[in-house]
Amino acid sequence: MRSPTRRFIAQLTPFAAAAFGASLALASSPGICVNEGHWGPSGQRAPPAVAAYVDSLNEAPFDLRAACALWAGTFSKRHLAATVGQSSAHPLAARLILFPGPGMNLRQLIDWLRQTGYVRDIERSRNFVVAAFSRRMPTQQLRDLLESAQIEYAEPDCDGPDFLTTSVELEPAVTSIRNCWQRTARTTYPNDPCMDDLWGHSKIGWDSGVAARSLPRLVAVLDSGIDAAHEDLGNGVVVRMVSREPPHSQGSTLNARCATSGRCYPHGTEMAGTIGGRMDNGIGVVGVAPNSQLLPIVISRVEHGLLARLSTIAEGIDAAVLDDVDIINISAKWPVDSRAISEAVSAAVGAKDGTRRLLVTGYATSLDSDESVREYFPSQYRCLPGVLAAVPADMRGQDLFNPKGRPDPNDGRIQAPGVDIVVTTTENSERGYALSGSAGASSAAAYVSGAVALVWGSPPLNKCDAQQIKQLLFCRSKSSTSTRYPWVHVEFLRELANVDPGADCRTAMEALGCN
Amino acid sequence: MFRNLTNGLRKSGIAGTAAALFLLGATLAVAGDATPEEPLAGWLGREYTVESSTLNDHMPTGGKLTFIFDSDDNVVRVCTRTVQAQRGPWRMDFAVPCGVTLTFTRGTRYCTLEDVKAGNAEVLSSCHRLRTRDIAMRPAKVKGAIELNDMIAFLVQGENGKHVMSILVDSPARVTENGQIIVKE
Repeated sequence: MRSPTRRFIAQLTPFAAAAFGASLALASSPGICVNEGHWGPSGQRAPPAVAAYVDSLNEAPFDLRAACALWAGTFSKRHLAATVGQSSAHPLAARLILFPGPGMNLRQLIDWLRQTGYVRDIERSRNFVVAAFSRRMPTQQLRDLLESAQIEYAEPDCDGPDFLTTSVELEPAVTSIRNCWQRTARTTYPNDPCMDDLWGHSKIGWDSGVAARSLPRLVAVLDSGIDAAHEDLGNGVVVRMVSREPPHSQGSTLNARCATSGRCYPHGTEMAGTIGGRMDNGIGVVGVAPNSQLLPIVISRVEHGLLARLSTIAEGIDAAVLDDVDIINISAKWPVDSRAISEAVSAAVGAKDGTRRLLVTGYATSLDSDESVREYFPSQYRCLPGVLAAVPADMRGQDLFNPKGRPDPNDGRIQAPGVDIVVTTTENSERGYALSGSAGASSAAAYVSGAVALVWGSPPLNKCDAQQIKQLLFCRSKSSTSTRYPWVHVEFLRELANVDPGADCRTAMEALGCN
Repeated sequence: MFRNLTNGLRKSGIAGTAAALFLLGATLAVAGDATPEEPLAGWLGREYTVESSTLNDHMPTGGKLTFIFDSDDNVVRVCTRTVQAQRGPWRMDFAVPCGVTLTFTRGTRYCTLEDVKAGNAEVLSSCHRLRTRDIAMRPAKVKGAIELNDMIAFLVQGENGKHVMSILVDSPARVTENGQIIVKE
């Protein structure tokens, strides 16, 4: 009979082995960055940390939550102790994103999976299937399945809580300091009463006349939904009549419930106001691109803004492509390099040239346990030409100036306002406006998305492709003495008054000094 | 030659032992007399109030806490105090008297509140800060899970020489960014 100590050590072994794998995995580049937008790590059948975890389980049950935390590198000694104590009682059964093996299509993979007898539920996506397995499935069966030729690659379909860390919960109503929604309209143009509090607009050289003339661009806001009944957003929100997400998927359920209702977490509505809040309507804020069209796609769970499943995020990006959006804004972060999301991002922006659309996200970072700076996803996908990462900053009281040389657009990082931004809020919080408490990279991303929509909507720049718009943003960005990356700046759009509106993009770029 | 070598070994053995004893004594002396680093000293021993929080449940607004330097372990201990006016009790690890320990990382400057709000780790990495790993601040809301946080307290120079800390509680999978708690003298 094994002693309690031996049993404890035996239980620890899988986690220790997998934690080593996780530390190796965290150090590597994203899979799509090593092979020009195609999923790179050849020969891998699963994320290394997850593979090590499954290999070392012996007969112990698979726990999705442990697999996700190990993959994310957030699994600590204390989690370990808690897991050993609890997980045998409540292991979360495997829910995996599966890519078919060579010569196999999704239909065949689904049929094969059903024959195993352990699959509770299957969803079919564009290029993968999501299989939820029974808790009764023996671990050896799972191991055999993952090693079979029918499956090329498998990854856990984690969601926010699966990463085994805090579920941080913002207060439902962030207290506004200025209560600008209670003010009457301004007497000057634009008359939106919160205009004076939008310090970021003046910092990036925003001009109401330019904004008024810009053509609408379609911006997908992958977030927690947008309150379509909000007076400051209303006619700018695209209400999708038919769900683009796979039927019966988490994404279709969340979208049916949250996309435009305003009953879900308010973050998406906040981002929407920064991107495309209506101008000169006598209430609230003004978006950076007030004429833009906003397409809500829900990628967060209803409660507390925690992320939905990785497969839901990937399907959300696919849905944005099906709706042919110009810009995809993702003010969110997650800690793992998911193949499902990587391939969706790559397909959305056009991996090699990135000419079709731009994906804008926040440059989301944290100080890791060893005090190193850790960059999250999707920010790390800025290796692709179609991805921009907005670096949040507070620049009040400091000047921006023209840089000596042109900043490198290949880096993908661009600075934008990210502190004390007045945002729209949902009916959960009185349908008013508030200072975003600590929006950081989220607000910065919304600012950059708005700037992209504004530039791309300003004739004749509406004839440009996504890469030309990105090139312009970096070419006409500004510098500061205290920040490291170029600052997004749109004052140059005034110069378009001297450019023939019928000119092609290249001519316009030449006129702006950016050919 | 052999004799010289032996002597040499003996000599160096004695010298080595003496040096080791000296170093051990010095180490013990240092361990016993550890003092807080100069950028941190002003923030210690003062009682702070939780002024504002963009997080629910992690620290109660109105609650009192004091940062005490523990020279034996060369760490800073957070000692909480409950007052009538605070919004909810101290919970989990903070309910244990002086149970949360933090280690100091010396940066090159003090952060501002705006730096912490922006949350760019490249900027924050240059700031003086205290850190603790894997603490439980509230019970897990997800069945079978444990909610643990890395908590980083940035030292902030407030107005009129007041000492302030801006506490960052990070979460890796959300549509929003980091939560922030501000404590003031």
